[in-house]
Amino acid sequence: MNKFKLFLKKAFKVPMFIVFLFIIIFYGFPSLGRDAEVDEFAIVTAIGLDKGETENVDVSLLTFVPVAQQNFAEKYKVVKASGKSVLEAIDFAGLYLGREVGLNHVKTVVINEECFNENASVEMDYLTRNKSLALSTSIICTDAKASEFLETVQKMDTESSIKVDDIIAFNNKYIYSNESTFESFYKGLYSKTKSSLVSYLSLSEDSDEGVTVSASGEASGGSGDTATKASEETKKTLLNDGKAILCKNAQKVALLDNVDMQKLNLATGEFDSGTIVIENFTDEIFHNARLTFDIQNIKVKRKAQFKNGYPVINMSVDLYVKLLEAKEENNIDIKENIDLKNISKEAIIALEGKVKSSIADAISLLRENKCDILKIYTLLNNSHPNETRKFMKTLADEQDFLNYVTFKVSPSIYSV
Amino acid sequence: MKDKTMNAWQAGICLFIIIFANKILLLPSLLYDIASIEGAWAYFISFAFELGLITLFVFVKRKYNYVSFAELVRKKLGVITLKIFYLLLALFFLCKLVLIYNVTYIFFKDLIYKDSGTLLFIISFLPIINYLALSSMRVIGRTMQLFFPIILLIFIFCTTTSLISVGEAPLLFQGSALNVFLATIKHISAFGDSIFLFVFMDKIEYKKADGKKFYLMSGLAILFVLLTMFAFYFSYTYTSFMHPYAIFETMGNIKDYGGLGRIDSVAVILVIILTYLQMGIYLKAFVVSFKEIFPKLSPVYGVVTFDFLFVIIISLIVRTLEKTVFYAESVLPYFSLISFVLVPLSAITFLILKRKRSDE
Repeated sequence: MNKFKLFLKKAFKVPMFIVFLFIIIFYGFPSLGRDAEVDEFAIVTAIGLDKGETENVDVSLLTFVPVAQQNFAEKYKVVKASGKSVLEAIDFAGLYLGREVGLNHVKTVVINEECFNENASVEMDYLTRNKSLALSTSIICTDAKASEFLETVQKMDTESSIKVDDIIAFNNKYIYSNESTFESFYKGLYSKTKSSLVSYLSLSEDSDEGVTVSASGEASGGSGDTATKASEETKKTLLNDGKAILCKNAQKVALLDNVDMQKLNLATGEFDSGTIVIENFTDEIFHNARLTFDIQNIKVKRKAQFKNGYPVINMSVDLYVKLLEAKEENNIDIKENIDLKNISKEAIIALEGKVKSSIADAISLLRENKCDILKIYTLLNNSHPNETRKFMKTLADEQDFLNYVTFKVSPSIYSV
Repeated sequence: MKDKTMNAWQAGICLFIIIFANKILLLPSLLYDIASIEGAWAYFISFAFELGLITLFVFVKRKYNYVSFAELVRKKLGVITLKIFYLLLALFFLCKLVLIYNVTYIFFKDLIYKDSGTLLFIISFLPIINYLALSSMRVIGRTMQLFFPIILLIFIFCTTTSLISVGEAPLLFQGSALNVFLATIKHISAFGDSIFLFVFMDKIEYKKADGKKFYLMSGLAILFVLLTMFAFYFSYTYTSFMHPYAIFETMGNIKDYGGLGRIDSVAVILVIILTYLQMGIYLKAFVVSFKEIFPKLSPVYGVVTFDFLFVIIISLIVRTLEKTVFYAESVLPYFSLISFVLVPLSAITFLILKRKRSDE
């Protein structure tokens, strides 16, 4: 007893011990009696935004529902709510759920294509200002209603191991030259030409391609928890075919397909994988063949200079390719084909031509839409600030500057 | 006597912490907001002043090695000037403490403790910094020495990983000279921290070549601040103004970290350590200044006075991020006159007087 008294006497001489005791008494014990976080918060993993009726916004929340079970499947529910603003709709969703809506775990925001017909940053405003939502959250544009999309995603999560976040992560790495996140969207929006790329996934009922799941149909409608409504089961197909929308001022100006994206990728050089195809190719071995090359690596160097007051961009594109598929009208001699380690000179010339035409197509696409996805303005401004300023002053429309930039593309093809 | 002093290395580490700590969260984003990427010039200009202040300290210390700055002021300028002088210094340290606390509090409130009030935060911070301020100089020096390698390690990890993830170049040459000037003036209060050296002047053991240690540590701190700033601007380019917490955000930009989870929490540890340490140094400086104003009162009164004023200011005056930024941009720059005008002018006066005397 005396030892304990002695210990207390010594301990109370240490101010930190008193602070520790204070924290334990006033914060430690009360927190033991608090509800679990999942009872207080609805854990949302994806948000869907649709244009609602009478200027309302329809918000759908893919919400994690903690249910005790013996397998590893996670249960999700889609909760829909409508409001004059996103915040109001989320508040209503919280009311339906009887929990505060927690956005800390949101990884994806799905936005209906209709929102991008006007300035989509209006719908994204609350989510940008909200500190709980990381700016690295992915954005997906879809042709279907965002709520339907989330219902399909919910099914995908439970029926298979395919997750929409994985698809987007894959796209960011392998398909788009840019990421499709809030961050990349705003980086584009605050650049000179205010242009950004947003990934595009379609949802259809009659597609033979893509991932098909049985999902609740539109029949439910209205707000609240979808499980409480009668719904008819329909087959929905989520199709990730590498499309993206090109936005200017947060508004859609073009829908780019995967071919356009591949061309843009060649110009940016910021992707890890892809193919390049040359048609009707003839040399010593092949006759009128279609050759498919796998792009192993790509290095693009851009250098800016001014000639007679106009900018010239010299682009050197080093492409490291491997011939992986050859198709000829008459079957080719396999013996000769598998012996091929080096690409013939004719093939190199054809590939160079293909690279040049692809980059030319990509640039005309950007010129047409006055979108500088390649960050050419930054390159010009950073390397020749005074000349760039003078050049921009000569233009009637600064946004149209890409039309006055000459691109000189010099590709070099290497066989690996 | 030894307990009442710290050696030049320890003082150098304190200098490193003070210069480095309060420039790696809000400042890069605020400077970008005013002068885009050219806001970086504000760093160079202000650091030039900071180095000037350190040089002045080294000169004064060389001439008056065992004399306190307060004693110099008392002898050369009189007791009333001393009281006013140290009242202003105490006010300066109090204001800086309020700023540092608020920035860190808002940072943590935004990121982790959304529902907790300032009380929990005060309980976590005040007792520890109070304890540090009441400890001897040697204890403070050793604490800084202990945490210094940890700070170095965490910082090197943060910067290396964030610099690897840097992708594109920011847009240069957008800010005008006027904007750079405005950015410098508005945020000058984030600099000039090295005046704490003058307050601790007699408590720092100084030998002939110790000046190098101050330059080395301040140089290292400046390099670290600039590295953080560049990693931040190159990570976020056009959207740098949207990301208020520089060192934390640069870690958030890292994508390829395998299955490590959120590594931005590493930066949070750095922010916690730095906040405690720099608040400890500032509070010690406040207590020393308080002692000069009221020499008969025990340092405990200094700490209690600080706690009282501090709680009033943070509970009633500076509560939100907006108010903190307003306070930092509109009120604190006036207090920088103390560090960049009052202290240097008096230091130069003392040096001239010493020279005249030796000439005579």
